[in-house]
Amino acid sequence: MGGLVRAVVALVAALALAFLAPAAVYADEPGESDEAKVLVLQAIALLVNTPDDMMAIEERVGDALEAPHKEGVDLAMVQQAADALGADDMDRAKELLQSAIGAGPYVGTGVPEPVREASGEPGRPAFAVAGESGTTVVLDAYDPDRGLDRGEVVLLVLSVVVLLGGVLLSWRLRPADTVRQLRRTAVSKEA
Amino acid sequence: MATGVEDRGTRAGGGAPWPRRLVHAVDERLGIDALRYPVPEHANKLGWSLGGLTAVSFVVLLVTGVYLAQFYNPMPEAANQSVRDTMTGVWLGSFTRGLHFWAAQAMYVLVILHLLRVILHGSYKRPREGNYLVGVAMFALVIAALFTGTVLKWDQEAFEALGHNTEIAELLGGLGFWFTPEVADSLPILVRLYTAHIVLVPGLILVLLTLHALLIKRHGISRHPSIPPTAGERDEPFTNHLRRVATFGLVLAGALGLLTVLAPQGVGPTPVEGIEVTKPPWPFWWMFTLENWFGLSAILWGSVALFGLLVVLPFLDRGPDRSWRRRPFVIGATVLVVLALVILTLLVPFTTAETHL
Repeated sequence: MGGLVRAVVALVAALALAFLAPAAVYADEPGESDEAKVLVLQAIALLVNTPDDMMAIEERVGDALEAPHKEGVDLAMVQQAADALGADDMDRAKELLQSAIGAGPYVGTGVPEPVREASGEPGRPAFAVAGESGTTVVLDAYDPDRGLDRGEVVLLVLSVVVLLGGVLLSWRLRPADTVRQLRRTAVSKEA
Repeated sequence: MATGVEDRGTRAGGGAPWPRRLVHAVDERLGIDALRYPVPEHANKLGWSLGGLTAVSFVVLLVTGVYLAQFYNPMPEAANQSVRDTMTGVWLGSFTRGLHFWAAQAMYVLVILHLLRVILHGSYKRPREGNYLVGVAMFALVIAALFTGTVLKWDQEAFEALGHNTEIAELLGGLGFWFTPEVADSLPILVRLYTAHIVLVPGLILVLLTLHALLIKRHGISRHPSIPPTAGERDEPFTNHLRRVATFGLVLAGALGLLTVLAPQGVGPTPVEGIEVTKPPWPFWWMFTLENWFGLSAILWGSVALFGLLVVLPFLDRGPDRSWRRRPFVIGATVLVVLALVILTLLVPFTTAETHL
């Protein structure tokens, strides 16, 4: 009986290893994707968010090249992007990575392969659901111009007028007695 | 014998100027005269008007929020772009969004200052414990509004904040179920957070604000612990307090306008799953440091501890003394907690973002 239990446990363990090992061997970090398309998108996001962290960007591009699931990605372009990163050409690398997943204009010379697939599963809508980001193109951060145009000067002046008007009115409508005066009054009354 | 209503009608009659007659005509029908209940003169000081100023910030947020909602698209594919479009293609869009942002920061700061004033003067003591708890609940809702508002811009920072929200909700088990994407897995969680931001949270704040105001009227504004009853402090109508809050509100509105023009707010890159590279907005920095030190669950325990302390405060400090000098334990504990939060916050600029999700 004990032998049977050990055999079943061994079989389960062997099956678990067989199914889990490839993923465990592949994944650099827990929870890291094994889809090249996702890894390329993450590499673009790192390029945009933390352009100084070259190690993380190159690692993610390398992971994309080695990922077991390569559907929807032009790996030749990803390789070119890796070379561009090696040459410190960040703009070119970003452009190539975007094109590699169909999220940017095609910049290659050959006939492009159809790399985009419908994002929705059968029976499910094609737009993002639950906790999905819905991002297909990583936009750069948008920082408004810090210079003042005519409209902003008007708003600035109005704000100053409102602020000063508020200061003036709050001074005019201040309470007649301060806390110190009231305490002094109480002391003199008690005396 | 004339009734009160007839008295008021008579007061406004005859040769009174037309604006006064108009006010009395409205008052006769809507009873706004009930706002003229007496409050002590010290209620008109800045420190005692912080609650009113928090309400002013809330009004600014409501007005700007209604405008922004006309142009915001809560679908994940379009949300970030719709914020950009609002800022670049809508009349006063950038200014309105900036005003909304800065009013939210102001509301957060003002509600904390109001809470500290209440603790300093022992205004939570009997019979005001219930109203104090209503205020603590509103503080929690202000944080919820800040959080959901942060997520709506749907950039990398927003998405990572949402990731933390989901992880913490899972730590809470069944209690956090609503905050997970699994509640409605065919609908983007962004849409549900959007409804929370524009309906649930402000709606609850409005309900609690009304209750807060009614309880203030019932209990009266608390006595200033430094003003002895023998000082003969005069009473003034509550409408004078509202007028004073309005003047401070003008100062606040002007300052918000200046900040909006001089420090405009941008929007970050569109978000991508699987990376963690940003830091949260500054109101959540103390949680960020705790997370870096002790892991994701520290955000939950830190928040529970803070709000637990706030909730038990009126039940622990039940003595009659309200002067801060005669409550060294409560004031000492408050200073320690505030100091800890400030230090945890100030450490963030010197910390790098770590992966926790």
